[in-house]
Order: sequence, then C-alpha cells, then structure tokens
Amino acid sequence: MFIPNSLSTLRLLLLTGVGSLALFSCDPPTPEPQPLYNLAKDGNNVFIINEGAYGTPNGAVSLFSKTSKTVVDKNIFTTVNQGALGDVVQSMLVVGQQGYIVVNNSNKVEVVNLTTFKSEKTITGLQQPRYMVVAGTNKAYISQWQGSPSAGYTAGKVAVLDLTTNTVTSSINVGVNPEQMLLANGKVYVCNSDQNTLSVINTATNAVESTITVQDAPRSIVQDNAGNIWVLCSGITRYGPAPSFPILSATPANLIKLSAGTLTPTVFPFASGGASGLTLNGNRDQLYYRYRGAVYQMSIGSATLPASPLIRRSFYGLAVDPRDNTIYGSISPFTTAGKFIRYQPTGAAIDSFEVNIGPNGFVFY
Amino acid sequence: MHSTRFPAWRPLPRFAPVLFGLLLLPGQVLAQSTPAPDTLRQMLPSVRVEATRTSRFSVGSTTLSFDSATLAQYRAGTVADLLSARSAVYLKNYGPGQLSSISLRGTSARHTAVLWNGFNINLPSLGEADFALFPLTGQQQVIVQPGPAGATYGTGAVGGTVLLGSTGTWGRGLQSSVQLDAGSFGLRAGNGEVSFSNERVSVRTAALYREAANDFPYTAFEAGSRVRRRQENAAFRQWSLTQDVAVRLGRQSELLASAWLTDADRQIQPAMGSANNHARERDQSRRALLGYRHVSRRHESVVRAAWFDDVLNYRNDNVDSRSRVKTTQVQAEHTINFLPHLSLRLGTEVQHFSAVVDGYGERRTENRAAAFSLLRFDPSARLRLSANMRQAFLSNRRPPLTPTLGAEWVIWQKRNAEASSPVQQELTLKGNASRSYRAPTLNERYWRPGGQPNLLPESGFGYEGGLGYEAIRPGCSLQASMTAYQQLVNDWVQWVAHPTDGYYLPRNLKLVRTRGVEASARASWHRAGYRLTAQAAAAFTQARKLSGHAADFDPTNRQLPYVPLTTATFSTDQTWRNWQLGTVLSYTGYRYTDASATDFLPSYLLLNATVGRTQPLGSHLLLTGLVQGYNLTNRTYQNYAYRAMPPRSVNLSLRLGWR
Repeated sequence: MFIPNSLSTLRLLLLTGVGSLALFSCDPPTPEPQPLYNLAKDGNNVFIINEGAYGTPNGAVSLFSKTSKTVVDKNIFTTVNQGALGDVVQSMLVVGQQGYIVVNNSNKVEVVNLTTFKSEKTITGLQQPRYMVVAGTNKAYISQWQGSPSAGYTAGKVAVLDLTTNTVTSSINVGVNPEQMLLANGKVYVCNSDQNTLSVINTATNAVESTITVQDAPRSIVQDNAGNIWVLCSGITRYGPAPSFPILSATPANLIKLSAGTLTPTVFPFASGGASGLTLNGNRDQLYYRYRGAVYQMSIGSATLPASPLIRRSFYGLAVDPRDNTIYGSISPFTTAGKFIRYQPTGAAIDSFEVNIGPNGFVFY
Repeated sequence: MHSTRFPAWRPLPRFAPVLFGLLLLPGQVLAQSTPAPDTLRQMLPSVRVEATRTSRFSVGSTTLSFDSATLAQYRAGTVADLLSARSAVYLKNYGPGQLSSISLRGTSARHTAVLWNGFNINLPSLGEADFALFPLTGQQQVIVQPGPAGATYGTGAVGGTVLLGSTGTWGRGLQSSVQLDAGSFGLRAGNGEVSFSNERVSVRTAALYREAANDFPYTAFEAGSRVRRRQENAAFRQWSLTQDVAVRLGRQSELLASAWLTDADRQIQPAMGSANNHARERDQSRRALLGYRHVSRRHESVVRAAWFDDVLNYRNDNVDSRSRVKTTQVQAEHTINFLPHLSLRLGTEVQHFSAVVDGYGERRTENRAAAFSLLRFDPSARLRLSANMRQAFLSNRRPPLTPTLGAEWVIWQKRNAEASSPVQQELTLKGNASRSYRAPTLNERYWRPGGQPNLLPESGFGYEGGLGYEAIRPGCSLQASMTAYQQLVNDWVQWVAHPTDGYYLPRNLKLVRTRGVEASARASWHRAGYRLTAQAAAAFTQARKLSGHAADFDPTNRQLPYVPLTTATFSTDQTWRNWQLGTVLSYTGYRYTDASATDFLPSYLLLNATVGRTQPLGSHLLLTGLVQGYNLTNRTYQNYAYRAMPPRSVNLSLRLGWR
C-alpha cells in the first residue's frame, strides 16, 4: 500500500522511535521488600521525622543506625507497612516500645510497634495535631490547632488519649495554636503559640487550672535538671487584615526561665524575632536553640544569652543525642530529599546523610 | 482540512496543495511550519483580505496541529484532554478537571507561552496557564510549537508555544450545532455553536457548560491494607463563551473583535491520605480584543488591542487567597512583502498589568514592552529561511536580545506527474536556533514576603534539527518526522527557603539543560467509503540541572521531577460510511517526584476508544452519536503523586448539526 521508500522510512522511524522507547521506558527497580525489622531499644537507633511536601502524603520516618553510620531505611513505615504514612509528619513520641507518629495534615496519629515498625493503630478524628506528651500513667495529650487564627478561632484543643486502648477519651480547650507541651510535677504546660501564654493542665482532672503569661509565641518548652522550666517564645509579627497589609506589630523573641517550684520568670530578650527549637543535652544542663541562621548553646546557669553561635548554619530541625551530646541538624529544601548533619558537642561537623523530604526532627531510640 | 496557500510565484503541481494540506493535518504529526500565505489571494474577488500568519516566520520549527475531526471528538472537553490523549506532550494533571500544567521539552509550565489570537494569556501572577481551564468549544485551532521561539512569541516561549484562537471563516452561510454529553461520575455537558458568514461579515458564537461530581472509586493503601474509597471534594463546573466578529471594510481592510469568557468553580481534589480541607478554587477570565487590519499589494498593517481580567480565588478551611489581575495590551505590526518570497514584519507590543493580589499587600502595576522584526526569505523554491529578533523591555531589568534563525531545505523530491497514478515524495531537512527569555512573574517580583523585584529574566538558548518526509498517492499518504533538540536555560528561577527566616523566596539559581528526540508518523488510507488513519508519536526527553547556586540544594545531573523520559501515543481513526471508530493508546513513562530523583511514579498505558455514527436527518440536519470509553483496561495509575485517577468510564454524546 505504501511506496517502498516510504515504507523504509517508516521502518527507520519505527525502529529508532520504538527502539529508544524500549531502551528507556523500563521503570527504575523498586526496592525489594525488606525483612522485618527487629530493632532493640539500645539508643543506637535514630528516627528522623520527615514532614514531606505539604498537601502530599509523602511524609516519612527514616531510620539511621549510629553503629553502622548508615541510613538503613529512608521510609521505614512504607517499607514495613506498604502504605503512605501521611501528609506533614510533624512529630513522634516514644512510649515504651510504641511510637506515636503525629501526622498533621492527615489529621491522625499512627501508632507503630517500634521493634518491627508495624502499624498497630491509626488514631483518627483529630484536627491539625501537632505534638504529643505523656501525661501520666496510660495517658497522653495531643495538641491540636483548630484552623487559622485569622479565620477567628479562639481556642486550640488538647486531646486526651488513653494509651491502653489508644482512643481519644476527651478534649480540653486551651489557647490558640497549641504547640509543644511539657509534663512537670503532675501538670502539663501547653505553649499557646499564637498568644503569650501557657495553659497549665492538671493531669489528674484533665482541666486547665491556670494560665501563665510569658512572651509572644511560646513554641518549645523543656525542663532542666534543676527543675527550672524554660520556654522559648519566637515573637509575633502581625499584619493588618486588608491591603496593603501593614505591619501592625512585631515583637522580638524571648527565652524565659520559670524557676523550679515558684515558677518565677526570668526573661532573656533577643534583639529580634524568630528564635526557635529549644532543646537540651543529655545531662539537661545545656540549652540549645536556633536563631538567625545559627545554633546557640547556653548553660542553664548563664545570666545572659550567648553572644556567638556554636554552629553557623541554618537548620530546619535540631536535636541533641542524650547519650553523647552529638548535635543533629537537618536541612530541608522540600523540593528534594533533605539531609542531616552531625556535629561534635564542640560544634565540629562529623558527617552528613541524605534522608527524605523535609526532615524536621530526631527521635533517639 | 486546513486551508493552504502558496506564494504566487512557486510553480506547483496539482497535488501539492493536498500534500501540504496533509502536512498540516492532524494529530501529532509534526508538520513543518505553515507554507507561505499568499499575497495573491487578496486580489481574488472572494477573498480580499488575507492575513500573513506569524507562523510564516517560524521556518525550521515543528508544529503539532489538530484537524477539525479530531477536535470534534473532544468538543465537550478541554485542551488538556486533547493534548494528553492525542499528543506525546506531557501534562502534569492533579485529577479529572483539576490543574493541568504543560511540560514542553522538559521545561515547566512557566516555560510555555500560551497565545490566544496572538496575545499571551498565561496568568501574569503565576506566569503559567492551567489547560483544564480552556474548553475546546470555540477554539478553531490548537497548535503546539515545541521549542524556543522568543523572537516570534515573546516571553515564556522557552519550552514551546501553544496557539489557540479562531481562524476566520468566510462565505459559509448560517451554521449551527448543539451537543449534549453525559458520562460517568456525574459528568454532564452541553455545548452549542452558531455561525454566520458571507463575504463581508463573519460572526460566530460558541458556548459550553460542563460539570462533574468526580466521586469515582479508588483503592488506597493505608497502613498495610487496601482500602476502597470514593473520591471526595473533586467536583467542578465550568462554562465558556466565545464570540468572534469580523467585518470587511471594503476590499483592503478588516475589523475584528473577539471575546472569550471562561469560568470554573472547582473543588480541589485532596491527595490520597491527606485531610480534606475543603479547598475550592474559582477561576474567571474575561478576554476581549479589537483589531484592525489593512492590506495592500505589498503592505499589511495590523493594530490590535486586548483586555484581560483574570480572577483566581482560592480558599480552604484555613486560607482565603484572592487575586485579580487586569492586563491591557496593544500590538502594532507592519509587514512588507518586498517580493513574493521576501517578507519583513516590524512590530511592537506594550503591556500594562494591574494586580490586586492578597499576597502582594498592595496594588502592583507593571509595564512591559517589546520590539521585534521578523524576516522570511525563500531564495529558491526548495529553500526557506527566516531570521527574527526581539528585544523586550521590562522595568528594572533587561532581558537578552532574542534572535531566531531557521531554515528548511527540500533535499529530495520525486514526481511522477505523467504517470496514471501520480506519486509525490519529498524529504525536507530543517533546523533552527533560537534564544528565549522569560520575564519574572508578578508573584516572583511582588509576593510578600519573598518577592524579588530585581529578579533577572530567565534566558535560554536552544537549537534543533530534523527530517520530514511525506509521500502521497491516490488513496494513501504517509508523513513522518523526526527532530532532535537541545536547550540550555540559565537563571532558572526556583523558590528556596530564606536562610534565616521561615519563608521562601525566588532566586535565579540554576542552569538547566533539556534535550531529546521527537518522532512521529501518520499514515492514511482510504477506499470506497472506508478511511483509516493511524498516527504514532514518541518523545524522549532528558532534563537536568547542570549547575546551580550554593543555596539550591537540588542535586545536579538528575532528571527533573515530573519530566517523563518517554511518552508515546498511538491512535487510529476509522470511518466506514456513517460509522466511525477511534482508538487512542497513550504511554506515559515513569516520572521522578522530587529533585533528588529517588521516588518515582510508575509508567502507565491508557486505552481510550470512541464508536459513533452520523445520521443525516433530511437535507440540513446531521445527527452524530458517540460512545466514548476511557481507561478501558481499568488501569490504576497516578499522573501526579497521590492524586487518584478515575477507573474505566464512559461518555455518551449526541450532536445535532444544522446548515
């Protein structure tokens, strides 16, 4: 039906076109199913929390082995359970041998057995969960935002979780955008990050018994070995509601020490806003935080904020290994796999490893 | 079939118009650029004013165009539906009716200029177009020209250009049609068109409404088990209205007016495993243009003005974001046909943007201007050359001068004009080299926080070369083409995290190289009431970042996310008397989903088919019924990560034409 010349041309095109298709169309190999994990709680495992891209359930937990110095699995949940973990993996709490993975934009908490990383339960019915804290025997609290403050909501919620059944039993109204929480002396202190307060919940009654005024935007909270509670407030910049959205107010960051027992505040003011990520070393006598693209270290006895940083590098997540005070900082470009860098306690870099999208924190197990 | 015109001087065999007509014909055939529009026709009594198309100056580029029969099958759909089924062009699609962004030759959606009747309709705020917002009803032409063409089409013509709009119809009298569609998952659509034209006036109105519930079932993996779910929050409704009026004023001039209104109200389909935050988007665009053309024996002048008003409002449980951009623009050009085979066009365009976007904090305005010269010279009947140049002017920054050089050479021809069944074959070598640029978008300049008013325009340099082959004899024809290209895009903009504060800002970060091969073939055979057309197209695309700024963490030398290495399509269209049968098989290769090229979405093959019958009812009415089946193999696949796609589905359509 075709003239010979056209046929040979057609053949040539088909050969080259289809040939190249055949050459390049094979998908890359998918990783073989891994043998089930059998992790020991020996302090040599580090779980890296990867948020994933917002709006996409590609959040992940990566497993790093300190002994072999390798990222054993970039997405251990999916390897073991063959499903996506969820959208914006925010944080993870270890209770015994169980991990509670808070998945913010999937409105859920995944409960996994940390020995095998098998999924045990999915706690649903939450709204923008952020962090979890153990609040007593067989009880944990989950902080939850309730929308956007600009949409006018006035109270965040803390869900009460029964750890024996892993069900939410009740809910407590707190301030706006509740973030990290701390259990100390039978009370849970909740950072209300869109305000300047801590809600204090009596864990026996699950009721807010008082509110402590701090500074604007408390987000992270720790307790040192002397019993003092430290709250890092990031400061808030507020814009007008309509164009041209003028800056109405801008407050700087403050580190606040609430002394043991009396909770008498001492304020350490920063020059500008943005300090975040307060954490402690293993002995709980050194504080670490992020500020203006660097990591600072401060002794709990210090009378002033440190003037110069320990590490001049901007991290998305920061943690200190309680065993050897190795500092872990994560870099999260979000367009590509992030990585974490390990540093000596002196601030000297050790090594770095690629993990998954948006690493924001570390859990040592 | 496309109308075809030739320079008056060229001695043409009788069958040549057919040959070249087929060249421009459908599907993914990578036909060469439109042959010269004529300068003779203006003297013919019936066609007094004929425009010199811009494509005349795009020598050496490949184009994909679609014939009316192909367009008719997608009349109730969008340009996104057409391109993803009928071409090897890759569209990143977030679900049925959801955002569809094009990737031409490995670039992003911002690197494709979309022109409606010569005016760039990319959203000025985002610098890109959502092809799901362009219903096909009302569009008389859809042409894709891959490859850089900054001189010819201006900003954004880096990866390629998509041309939409009307072609002008004269002397057809009164025609009208109405079509109703009903399909799976609540798809309902209706469209209609009325046109009238004599030799002085041409009026056309087309309208479409479509909606779908998109509550299709899908299977999700959740914590170790397969869960059957129904898609939530993915319904949409959209309408479109197109109006074209052309009036000939005497023998030499013409007044044109067009309007195109589109409106889409969409729920935004959430990712599988993400919370449904009830996201919803409203896109409204109003576009109007007014033009005047004057043609004399050697001169042609055109002045056109256009007004666009683009609204994009997005909200979910937590966010309410509004944007509205008004664009006013004027183009003026003058073409001199020194000789029938030598044309020069000089032109200028001015654009004014006025944006009220929540993210900018205040009203922002911006002016842009450009001057260009386009030259077409055919030294002989077998050699065609073009040389174009454009200089754009942006406030604060100056994009590079963007020249384009193109050539086409018919290296071999065979004629059997005297034989009883004439055979014509032709082999054409073609190539071009072009610089391109992309002006920073309004978001990149003014978004607060992060916008960089002094961001540099991206600049690209690309070249391509290829072979085209055509053969025709009575009853059958064959066209085939192959093109290889390479392009470097510098100062590629990417949003990266601010080193100390928690927001993102765009920066000129990367040098990106894209290169690849495009091949296509089309064969047609007909005999006694039966016609078979088969088309195949394949593209191999490599897109990599070669180097970047220290602040850019994306690794180098890995395939860019959402650029499949291979795409291919194979389609057949058969007609027998009043029956028609069409099949489309399209292959999309695996795509990485992040810049580190670790996670990927598997490749997939989709099969669609159409069966239909056309029944004349009396002498003026034509009834066409179509049954269209999509994803016939019931393939579970994802085009964009974690966005469910519909299983096997069906669409019934009934069309009544009158003339």
